[in-house]
Amino acid sequence: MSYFAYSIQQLVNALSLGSIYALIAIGLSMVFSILRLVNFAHGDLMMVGAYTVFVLWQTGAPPWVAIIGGALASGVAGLLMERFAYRPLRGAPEITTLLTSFGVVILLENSSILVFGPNSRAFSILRFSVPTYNLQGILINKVDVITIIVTLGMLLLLTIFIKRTKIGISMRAVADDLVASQLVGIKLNRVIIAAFFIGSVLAGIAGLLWGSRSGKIDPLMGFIPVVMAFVACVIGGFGSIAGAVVGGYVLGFAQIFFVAFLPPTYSGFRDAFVFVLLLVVLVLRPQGIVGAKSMERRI
Amino acid sequence: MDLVRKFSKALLVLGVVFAMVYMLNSLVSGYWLRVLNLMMIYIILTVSLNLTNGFTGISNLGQIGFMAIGAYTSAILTLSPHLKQIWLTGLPHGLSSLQLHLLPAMLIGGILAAIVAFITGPVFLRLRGIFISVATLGFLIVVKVVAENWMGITRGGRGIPAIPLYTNLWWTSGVALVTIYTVWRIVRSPYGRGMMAIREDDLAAQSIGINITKVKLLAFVITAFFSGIAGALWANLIGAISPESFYMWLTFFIIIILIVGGMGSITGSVVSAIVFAVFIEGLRSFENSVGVYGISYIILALAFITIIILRPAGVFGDREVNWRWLLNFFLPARKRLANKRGGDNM
Repeated sequence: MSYFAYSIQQLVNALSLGSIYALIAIGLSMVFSILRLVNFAHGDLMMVGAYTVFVLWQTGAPPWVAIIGGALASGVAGLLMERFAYRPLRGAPEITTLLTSFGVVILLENSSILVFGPNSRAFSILRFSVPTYNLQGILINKVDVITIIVTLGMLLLLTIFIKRTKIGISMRAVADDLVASQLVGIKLNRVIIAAFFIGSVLAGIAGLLWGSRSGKIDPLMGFIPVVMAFVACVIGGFGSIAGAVVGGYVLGFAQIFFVAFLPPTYSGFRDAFVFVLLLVVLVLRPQGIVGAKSMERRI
Repeated sequence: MDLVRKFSKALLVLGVVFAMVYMLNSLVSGYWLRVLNLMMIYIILTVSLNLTNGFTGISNLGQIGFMAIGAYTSAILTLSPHLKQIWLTGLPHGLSSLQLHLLPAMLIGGILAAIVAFITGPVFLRLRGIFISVATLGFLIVVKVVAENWMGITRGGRGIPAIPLYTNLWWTSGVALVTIYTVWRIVRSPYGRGMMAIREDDLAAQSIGINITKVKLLAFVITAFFSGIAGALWANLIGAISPESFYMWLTFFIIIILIVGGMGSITGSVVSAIVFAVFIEGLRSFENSVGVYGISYIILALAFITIIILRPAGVFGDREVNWRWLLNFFLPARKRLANKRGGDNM
């Protein structure tokens, strides 16, 4: 295989990984920009989505029903999480809510272990009889193509929602200035519910794509992606959706190229490398690549 | 007179602890002795974490990474040379023929963790609030990744078994006492007051002449030192370590103990660690008897979320548990008022 073909394959791979990170990071970022809440349990919404798809598909529902069901289930799980864990803590310090989200992580992951067992399950709803395209020697995975297209579609929808709809505009207003937005009569709860629901649906879709990418799902599948998405948010600029997307793709590229173009003995250190990257960004450009407007000091 | 009183008080405490450890050592054995040892290790970890998270306001989530450094160091130093030559082929020659006892191994482990904290600290401590949490969480992941991949030194994901079981209740309770005493003294020193000033308002602290970088770094390094020692005790208690042992679950546990006990209360941390160690064992045996695996963590998480919602500052807040507090707790309300008047509750 030529070096060119290899590079193109890795490029597609990186785009697909970056897309998933971006999808997760958007939800984290939306919730953070409104509530100053770092929701580590966001990754477990991926797990909820993926398992719902898995169960629906196993029981014989058509794939599109399973997929929509999974996205809705993770949206509902996000709303429940907001109502019962985070709403009572509204106004509490950031650290308190962050640690609460760890409690939610333990709760969800162990509930999932309880119901589905600790072992991973094969997840093949998006795997087809011909899993790859062959373009003159360049092999491209269908799952990667689907991931990239779905993500771009979601980003388009999200942009329209944020820029054009009333609730999207109020969401931006709340993120910009909480008090002033209250003064002009924006209903805070409605905005928070919308942010949680949209972020959670995106996380559910990300879970479906992540499961398809690796071919398996397990109760702890959400943890590393959510930490990575968090890093993506910080790299891109926390609290801005554009920052989350940019950070997600930067991180995806950095990870894939670290593994693809360095000697294989280093590939085990991939996650360590990500955090070194994070520290470099935090020290050199603390506001992130894009930078959020309404950002308090990080340093 | 005051000195004599203080000295006799200290002697009394030491005597009581000595007698208790002696009694427990002869009365308790096997499983419950291990629970007691773990309890002491939880105390060391929580009280030392309180210094950064509770008193200085640095939300450090990387503590268990420093514990791993101490545990691996001690495991490597105390492992028998024969096993080292088979498993840990990457060790330099001087190390692979060396076998130390617990005390030097533990101290070296703690010092190594402290050195790593000293080097990495300035980077982390530039950050604020949740960004420190994420960066230190990243540190934890980095330590785990290194432990998993540095085959010649750590034996990778398989971990190091057959570590000599040097740890006993004397060691763990002794170190726990030293930790409590050290943290207590630091908190009541000018440095400790500086830490609390930084927690409340770092800009104001800086403006009255507190060197906030130095004070924060001091808290961070001391936490790392005691965490490293706790790791060494853990390794020589359980007898086997792997990268997974020092990762998310333990981090969650210690954070839960700290929050429930109250950030900024040393005695709160101690009480909370004791209760937690018993509680988690009770939950485990409940789980085994019910046969529903995972239920103990679910109950734990629900209890944690409930407590954090009902009492966000923890059960004890930043108050210390002492005689006055206990008396007030048990006395009827009418008498409480009279008791509240005299002195602070240090």
